[in-house]
Amino acid sequence: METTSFVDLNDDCIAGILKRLPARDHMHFGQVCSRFRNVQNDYAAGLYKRLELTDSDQELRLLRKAGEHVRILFLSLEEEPTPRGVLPKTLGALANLERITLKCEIGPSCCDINCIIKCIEKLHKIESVGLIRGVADKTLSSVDKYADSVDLHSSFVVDVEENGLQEDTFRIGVLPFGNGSIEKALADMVPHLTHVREVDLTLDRPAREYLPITQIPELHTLSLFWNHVPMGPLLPLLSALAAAHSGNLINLVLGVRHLEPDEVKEIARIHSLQDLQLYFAKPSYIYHLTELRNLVRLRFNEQFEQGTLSSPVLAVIQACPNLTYLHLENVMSNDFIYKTFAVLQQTRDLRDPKTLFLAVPQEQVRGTLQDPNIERYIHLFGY
Amino acid sequence: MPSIKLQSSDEEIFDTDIQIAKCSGTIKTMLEDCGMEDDENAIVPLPNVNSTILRKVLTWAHYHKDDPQPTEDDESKEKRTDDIISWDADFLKVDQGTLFELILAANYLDIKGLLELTCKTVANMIKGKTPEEIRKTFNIKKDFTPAEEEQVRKENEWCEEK
Repeated sequence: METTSFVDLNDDCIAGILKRLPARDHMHFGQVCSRFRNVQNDYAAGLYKRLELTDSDQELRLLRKAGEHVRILFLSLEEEPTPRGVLPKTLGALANLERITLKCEIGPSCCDINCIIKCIEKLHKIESVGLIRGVADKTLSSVDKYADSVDLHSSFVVDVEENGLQEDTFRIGVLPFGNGSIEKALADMVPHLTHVREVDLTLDRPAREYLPITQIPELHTLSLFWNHVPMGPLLPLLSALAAAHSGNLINLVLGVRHLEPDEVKEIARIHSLQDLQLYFAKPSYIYHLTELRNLVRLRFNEQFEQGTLSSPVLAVIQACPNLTYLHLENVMSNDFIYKTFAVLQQTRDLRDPKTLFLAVPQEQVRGTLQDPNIERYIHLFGY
Repeated sequence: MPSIKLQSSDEEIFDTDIQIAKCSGTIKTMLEDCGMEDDENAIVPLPNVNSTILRKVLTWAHYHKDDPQPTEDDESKEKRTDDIISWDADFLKVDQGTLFELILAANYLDIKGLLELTCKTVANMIKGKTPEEIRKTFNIKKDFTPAEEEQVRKENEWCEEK
């Protein structure tokens, strides 16, 4: 019996192999024989709808060849395109392109990026241009939204002038067309943010558009503030965060004044949280936080409505055996201090209790009891 | 553990644990659609797979019986080719003929994990090679028509703007 060879495979199998081949090898594959070439052409619509490339010669050739099929493109700019002008021209021919993400660590020059954007901008179906710039860093501290290509260009020029061509700071940005949402462009970028551990953002778009941020794979610190804009419902974002990171998010700062009970419940699902800072001012939802048994630091950065604060806070102290820092903006009654003492006596190691640092307004500290027994458990300090 | 009988193209019978047989989408559908699951003596004919290959396929399926089902989500899948575990790498230390037959069998039997693995292995053999090197590796004849030759030549040059 004759042995089976490559060309005995059916088209589906050959396409299956091609699908698992890195993009930079695709041109060579199509230049082996008629059969390979035909399979590549026949399966092009599926193979090249979503493409991840660098700007190597072979990959730009593929982009030129398969251009009509490309809808979503991730392009990492690494080399000086040769010859000059090939890259903008190639991108300008992508008639069905809907979204593109450009990643540039060093370079391209301002002139090049301007040229590239100008070509992309003219495409009929284009929805957004995403930009990942600078050397990969573990902290992501800005998501820019550019108003237009001029805005994008000037922000790029400023950065290059301030930081030099080599040391670009790490940042991401989106230039949306059409409906103006940045959500899909962010979703395209997130799988490439594998080095990011900390996200610290002040946001100026509705919360739902930032939902992809919650899917950054190795996220352990998240800090979100909104720049006085209507941010819309927060629940989808918090649900996605809890679903993706309930085991690995350590620090969370949520700079919003109001949270719905369901939203607080989602936060309470993130069991790995050790450090939590909140700004909402309704005490009744604090009970949900008793789920967060690994909490070490808890800050309430906003003064609560008076009256019913002490019971829920005591419940949290009771539920979290590792809590060593609690920040409150309210002046608490002496009764609260005694009750806290009682709770700590029950829940902490008698011989060597972990002290709870209680950060409270200055006037609280002045009037406080001098009791060495209590001081073994509670360290009050005013600010 | 209930078992079923699989019959290879050269009419060898393989008594197979039903759970292992069902890693093949094709067999699973056959069993469920034809109500063969409860029939101890039923024989599932596999006319496209010979006994040598079927034996190998079943060895692979046995080792991977506890793997999670691969997801259908094609678009988000990473194109990684360097994540082949060592057992699989050893398993695939076979001649090219066997490798391609395994691909055909995995495709026919609809075993996603094995298809993924075998295709990746061939992709790894292609990676970084020129067209001529690929032809040499797999003993393929260059059979382009003059028109195709011309297309290839054009692909390989950068047409500068006029």
